[in-house]
Amino acid sequence: MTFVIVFILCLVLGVPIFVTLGVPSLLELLNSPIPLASLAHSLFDGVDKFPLLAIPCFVLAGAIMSRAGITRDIIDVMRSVVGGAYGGLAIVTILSCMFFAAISGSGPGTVAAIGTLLIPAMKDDGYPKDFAAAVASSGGTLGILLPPSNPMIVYGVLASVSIGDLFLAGLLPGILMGALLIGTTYLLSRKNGYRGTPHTFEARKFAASIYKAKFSLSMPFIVLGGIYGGIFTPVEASVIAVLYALLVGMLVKRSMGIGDLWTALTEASTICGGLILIMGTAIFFGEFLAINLIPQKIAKSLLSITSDPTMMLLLICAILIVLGTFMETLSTVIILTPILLPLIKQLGIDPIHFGILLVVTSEIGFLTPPLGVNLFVACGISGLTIEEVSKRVLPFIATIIVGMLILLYFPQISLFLLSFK
Amino acid sequence: MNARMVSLFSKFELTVSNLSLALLVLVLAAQIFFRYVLQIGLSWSEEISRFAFVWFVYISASLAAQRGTHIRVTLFARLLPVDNRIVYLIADVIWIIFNAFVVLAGIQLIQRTIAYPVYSTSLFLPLAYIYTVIPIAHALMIIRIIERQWNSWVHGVPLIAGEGDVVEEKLS
Repeated sequence: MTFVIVFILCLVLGVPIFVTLGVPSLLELLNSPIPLASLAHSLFDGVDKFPLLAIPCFVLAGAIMSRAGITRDIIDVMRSVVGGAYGGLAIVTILSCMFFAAISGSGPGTVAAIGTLLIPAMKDDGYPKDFAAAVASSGGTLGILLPPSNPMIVYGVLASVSIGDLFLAGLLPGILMGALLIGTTYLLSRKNGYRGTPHTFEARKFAASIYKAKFSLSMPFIVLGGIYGGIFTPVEASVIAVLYALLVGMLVKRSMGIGDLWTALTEASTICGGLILIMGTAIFFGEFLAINLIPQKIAKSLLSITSDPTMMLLLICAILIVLGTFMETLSTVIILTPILLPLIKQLGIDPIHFGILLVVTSEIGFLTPPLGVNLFVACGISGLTIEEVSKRVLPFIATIIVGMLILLYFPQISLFLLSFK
Repeated sequence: MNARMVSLFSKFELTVSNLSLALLVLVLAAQIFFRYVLQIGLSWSEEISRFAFVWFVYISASLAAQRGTHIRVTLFARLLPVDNRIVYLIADVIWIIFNAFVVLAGIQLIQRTIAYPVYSTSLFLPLAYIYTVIPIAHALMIIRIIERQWNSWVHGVPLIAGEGDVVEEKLS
């Protein structure tokens, strides 16, 4: 009982998550015959996991892509395709997010890369700024659903599920969610008459933009193709992504120097610094959770509400959406995976299907204040307040919830591609 | 300490974590090159890159403490009817105490692995040296927490990066 009280107290006081997980476990350790040294050993072991290396590498690759001009190339191609339709540039934003998400594993990282270029462009094209910021925040949520994905890597490590399988399972749900978001964008633009400068589709211009962007456009195919084809492990693919982006930036486009590489490294260090070490105390925390039989107790009280797998998933998704309003995504996945996984397995739910749902509900957490990280990034770019953007983001949240329900009722969408393995 | 030393120390974590990230990318690049181009499997590359990663994770955590970008739940602290800074001060004291225990645990672990040596599986490196990152990084973090608190109370720098306006660095 003290274990739970100390945990909640630390959480409420705003103690960093890795310490919030560490303090109750440390108290239990001090009351046990286990030597204190095992704390340091656990912190080392929790992070010393090879698949985790992909996280900083994918973050670094994203940072390099923007500096190398790869992001701009992707946007130019999307623009030449749908630029003139209703909501043209807004749809371009979602499509560019999808493309970027297929190389990067982070939600806010995607908003930062795409939004920095497209929010000002949408504003210049006559779109209201709050709508532009809402579209970029929503498109950015695809960063974690379309593989590669940082939360999937963490979930895979904690749940002992193949990360390659999770990446394969996330592909169709990611495309579905992208299509739904594009639909909402189109309907909203049509209703409000957002059109921007009309220009007709020109095949020659399209071909020229594709040719110009050939190196940038092949990147997701190399990274994801390598993983799906069984050529690279996810970690190797993340390193290939870094090297490829560097090659394009430094040798092909010559748009980057050594100084830019250092700033990209700094960006990756700063982003990963407060995050990955949570894995260190998480393993330690998970062990004491298990000793205190907490997963069993939570499972018992959830099972007293329902024992139907679908209803249980609905219930868990609802809880996750509420938690996502004030908890950061990766920490939610890290804390809840060891708590909920035994229950999921007991009910015969596929852990991969559950992992995808966990990621989809995390997408909603990116958009809901008070802690909606994608909103923060979009507000930083557009200079708007959270209140202004969060109102415009509501229809997109509704869209993602619809997508979540579709994925929940049709596990085949996530599991279909795995049957070809 | 003179000004030069202070300025070097302020960039210490940034430099070490950037270099460890660069090292792990380089080592893995070598692994890929050897495996796919020369068809030779390297035995040491995974281990070196994993150790570089652990160093990267913990040293960059101290960087995050310096820049106020650690992930926390700030909703309740802001709802409490007292000055936020007092709540965060209590939170940071808990953090410092936890880190002090980790430093102690780290020193004990190193003493044990020196007394009963344990070596890494492929390179036979004494793990005692690799483990040093745990006490070093957690001790550095304590200094950075105090530094950030000082800047917050004395210079009015927000304790949590972007708190009050927008969060610019809290990317996950």
